[in-house]
Amino acid sequence: MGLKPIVKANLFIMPIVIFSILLIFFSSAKNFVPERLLPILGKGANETFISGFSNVFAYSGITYLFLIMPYLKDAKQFKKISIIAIVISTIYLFLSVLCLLLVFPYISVTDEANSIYLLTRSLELGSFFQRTDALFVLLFIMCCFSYLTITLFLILNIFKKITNIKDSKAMTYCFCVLIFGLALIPKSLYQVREVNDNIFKYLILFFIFVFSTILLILANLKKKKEEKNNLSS
Amino acid sequence: MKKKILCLILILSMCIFSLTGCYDAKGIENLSYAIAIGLDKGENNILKLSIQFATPSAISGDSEGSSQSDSTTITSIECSSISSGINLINSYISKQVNLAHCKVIVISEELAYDGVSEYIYTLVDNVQIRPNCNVIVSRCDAINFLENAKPTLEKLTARYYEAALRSSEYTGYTSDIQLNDFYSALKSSTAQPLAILAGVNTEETHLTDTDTNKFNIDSIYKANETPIQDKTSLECMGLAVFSYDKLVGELDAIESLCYAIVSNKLQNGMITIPNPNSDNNSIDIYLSPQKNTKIKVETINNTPYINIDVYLDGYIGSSDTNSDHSSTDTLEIISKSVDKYLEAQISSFLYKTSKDFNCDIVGFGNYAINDYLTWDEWISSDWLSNYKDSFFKVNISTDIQSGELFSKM
Repeated sequence: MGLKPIVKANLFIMPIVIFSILLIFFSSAKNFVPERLLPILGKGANETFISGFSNVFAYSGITYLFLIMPYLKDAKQFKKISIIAIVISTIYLFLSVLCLLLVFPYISVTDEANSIYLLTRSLELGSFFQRTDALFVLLFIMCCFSYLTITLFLILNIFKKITNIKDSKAMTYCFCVLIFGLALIPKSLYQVREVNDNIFKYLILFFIFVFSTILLILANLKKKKEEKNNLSS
Repeated sequence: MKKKILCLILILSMCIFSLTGCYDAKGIENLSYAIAIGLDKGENNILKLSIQFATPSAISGDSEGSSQSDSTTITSIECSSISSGINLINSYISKQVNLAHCKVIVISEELAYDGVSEYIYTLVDNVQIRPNCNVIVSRCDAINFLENAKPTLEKLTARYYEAALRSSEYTGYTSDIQLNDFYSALKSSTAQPLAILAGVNTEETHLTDTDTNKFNIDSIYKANETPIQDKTSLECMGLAVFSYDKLVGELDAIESLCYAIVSNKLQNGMITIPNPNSDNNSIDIYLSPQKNTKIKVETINNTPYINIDVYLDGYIGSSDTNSDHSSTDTLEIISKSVDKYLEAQISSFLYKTSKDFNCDIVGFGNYAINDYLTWDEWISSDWLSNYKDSFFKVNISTDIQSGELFSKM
């Protein structure tokens, strides 16, 4: 599995996902109660900015930007690609959160996948289209497929670099089976949520904001040292 | 060779995992679809659960001589909770109960007075139940309600439930209250829940002690009180008002129309007012919203002052030989009468919800929350308790037009 088929598959999936989110947003507009955004300061500054800091986890997708650089045809386009990716993700996230806040009462909030599912359950597209949540499940599978293929591709390439193996394609099946096996370990969705909320969330925060900053500082120091050596030689 | 064997082993192991996925798949022939759930207070147990099932052979016409009433069957059981009741029914009937096509949840008035939160939470948490399933409070036993669901103008009982509840779109005498709405209001700190009021209309339940001189006699009925002679005996009219999860009162047809007007749910409705141009005569006005009702809430010393501006379009639906609706002056006079009548009716409805029920069913809390900066401040203001002290100012602006075909008789 190379990068090309993954990119092509994602080019097919991404517009469908964006269109579906827009469809969910506009179709649920009749259920919007703007006052549900109030009180404007929510649970207060402490709860929002300090206790709620871990919610920055929602931007964990930035991790992929750190890893795609070697696969770009034109590395100079990286900045442009990053900005477009962040803007699209932000719009997607913003619309999803806005839908949830405007439709559901303040306290009945579940995790993000469940909430969008609840939203699609309450959608009514006339009397002909009913049970739109079935479409959501299809969409969810497509998103999972997209996420898994990209993640697997990056894992394989990192593994290839670590182990210095020539052909990583044969390893694809091993990693697929491993992921599948790991996915069977949690006994319920609640357990998955537990791992996500208590471990994965903080690990991601550490890797994105702490680890990457340390790497950046070290890389700069290394660069300066090399420049110094070059000048002295 | 080794590579081929490795690949083969990997493919086989993938097949082992992936081809075992459908072990719990169920075909429709193994399921029995519920179209309505009835909840009554049990005699020997906490709850009496009744489920109305669709009988597919009767619907498809396989069995000869089946009437529409045979297209459903009702199973009832005394149990401690909904889930255990369904479990018991599962062990009794030959198929597994499936709630994916449930159209209505009928709760008896007696049970509703005791509180329904436990049942609502159970149903909302059930993936099979649709959030757009209607919540009905029955003035009779829920099982009696389900037994009387015998449509004459519809073939399918499920479609009958859908059609019967859609009448609110053109009468305004009830509202389309869905499970989602009920649950949202139940969980909300800014509003309180409502349900559709329904009953079985019989000769004995008709409202008889009415003042026949009253011009708006046709809009003061609640479910099962309307003097109708028909085979179909189910009637949805009015609304059931809840304080948190307990039923506290009922609204009649005109009060339900007022609720629809204030809460921006009105699509079409009709009122009867005394004819300002003729004594001892009344005039019918069809109403539709001109623009959204504007609501402003100010809280001074924990006392809410609520200002409501209503904008309606109306056209005259009744005429007689003396009618002349062609002049602007006449229409202006009628318009003022409509404004005055609606102002009185809506004020009466609002004070009933605040003083008698202490239930903010309209959701004025959604507007009051604007004055608070944080959630803690809002919760400590205890809006739902303060609602009983509310003062209302209702301003109506109706644009009246003459009848559809003739403006002068």
